[in-house]
Amino acid sequence: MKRRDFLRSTSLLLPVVWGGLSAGLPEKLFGQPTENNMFSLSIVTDKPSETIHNVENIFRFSKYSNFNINFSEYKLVGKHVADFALIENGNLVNYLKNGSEFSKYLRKTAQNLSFPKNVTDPALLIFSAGNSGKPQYFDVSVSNKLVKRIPVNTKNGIYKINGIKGKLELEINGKSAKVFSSSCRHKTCLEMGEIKNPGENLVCIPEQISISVSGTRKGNIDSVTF
Amino acid sequence: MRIKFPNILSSIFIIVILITFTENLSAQENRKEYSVSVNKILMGTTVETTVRSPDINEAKEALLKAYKEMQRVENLLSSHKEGSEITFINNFAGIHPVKVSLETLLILKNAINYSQHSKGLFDVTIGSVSNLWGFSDENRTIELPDSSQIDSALKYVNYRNIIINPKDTTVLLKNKGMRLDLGGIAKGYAIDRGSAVLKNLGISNFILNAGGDIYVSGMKEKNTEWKIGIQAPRDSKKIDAAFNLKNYAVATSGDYERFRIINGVRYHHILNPFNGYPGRLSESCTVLAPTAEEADALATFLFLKGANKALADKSIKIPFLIITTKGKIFYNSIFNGKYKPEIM
Repeated sequence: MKRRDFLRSTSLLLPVVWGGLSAGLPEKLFGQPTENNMFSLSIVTDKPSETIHNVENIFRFSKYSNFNINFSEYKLVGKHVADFALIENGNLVNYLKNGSEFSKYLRKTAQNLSFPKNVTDPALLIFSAGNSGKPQYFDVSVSNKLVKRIPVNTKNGIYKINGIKGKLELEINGKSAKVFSSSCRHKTCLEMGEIKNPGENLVCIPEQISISVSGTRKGNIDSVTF
Repeated sequence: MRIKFPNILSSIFIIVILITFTENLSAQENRKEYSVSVNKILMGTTVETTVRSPDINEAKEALLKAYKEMQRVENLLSSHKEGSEITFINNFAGIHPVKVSLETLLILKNAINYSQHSKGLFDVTIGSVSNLWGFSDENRTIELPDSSQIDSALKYVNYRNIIINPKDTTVLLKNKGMRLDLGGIAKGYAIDRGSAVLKNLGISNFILNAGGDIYVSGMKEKNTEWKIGIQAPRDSKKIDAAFNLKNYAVATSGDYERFRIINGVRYHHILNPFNGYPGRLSESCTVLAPTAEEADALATFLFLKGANKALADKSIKIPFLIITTKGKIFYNSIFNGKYKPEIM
């Protein structure tokens, strides 16, 4: 993933109006409502432990010290650009030029970690706060590695995903996704219906493929028994 | 008057220590906590865990160890993995006893206990029948067997024919053709083991969900308990009921987890050990228990027993909620009294 693509895709982590950007970053209006008290810091890094430690320190002394922050980590495959992407209140913030204390700390940390730089098979770390309850991505993982993030507003069509033995075809229709076909024998994945809300997922165990709608689950339910 | 410097110095020293200690205490109390989430495919399902911790790297390390432990349990108890102790027992059914670990022995003893309490409605020797259907093996196609095949396989379903010898820790399945299938207990046990690892590593607030079977530890936030939703059987996006939980397990058996529609009929993985066919009285059954193993086994049992008989059985002292095949929700007074489920 190129830096430009990383920043572009990361901006969709929250419902975002992409604005206020400095030169060098893509300017695109997504036309979704801005929400207050929300932020997301996405990081592609080849040194997850060191990065986490640094970012924890930033949070401790930042305006986000009292926020309830969620953290998740994904293994990525292939070549990527290690960098930060910060979204605050719906806006992608160019931390390299922004004057806030938080951005200053990020700049310092980026220097320490030699960001941006090309890395292979890194980790994607996501720190976020605020409850959007709105779908953002269809996250596709194979053998517990994130191989693709398909924005929910992407064009309709069939997406092929290679599993551990065969393949699965994912049908995206509007803001929902369902399994169109699978080479597995069980075929339970074909009966799972559509997913469209954060926290919902489709799983094909034989192929070790999971597709989940990223984002914060709506409402106050923490976990679902089924 | 001579000033006793040492005493003053020691007082200052004590004050300094006290201040430092108090500051440390307040720093500990005010340490920022994160919600660290992991979602992985494991044990033939998705395992989703969220822990509350002030140190993300420590939480990650603990989660890694917990997932390794659950993987170990899967390798030990899976009935379709080569090299598992259960596979060994199955391979030598009717031939000779198999030496197993004390852990496997104790799990099988527990399984037999559940079978006795359920009068055979929960039976881990269901393997000969479930193998015919292909529910347990992800590399097989789910098929509708001939009734004659089911009748033949049913002859090998009887938990009383598991011969356990605690002295030399061996297990023998009495008849050739018998097969253990720990699908109704192994996942719960793995959750308990994963939870124990997290607790041993100092993580006290977490929620571990393996394919809908859950252990909840501690609190979500200082004054907020974790909240669990029960999925609607015919609409995975809908929640039928919700309740708060703390330091307890919950498991659901549903006819929508592993199933196949054949000629318009839903055939699912919760098989009745008496007739070899999927249970037809419930769409789902949710049970709360101190351990996930217990909740897992009892959810299977009560799913097959059905709401009417389960509610009438006064010997059942655990909270449960059953959604019938007509979509009606029933729960016992223990569930209602202690957990006050919010029906949606």
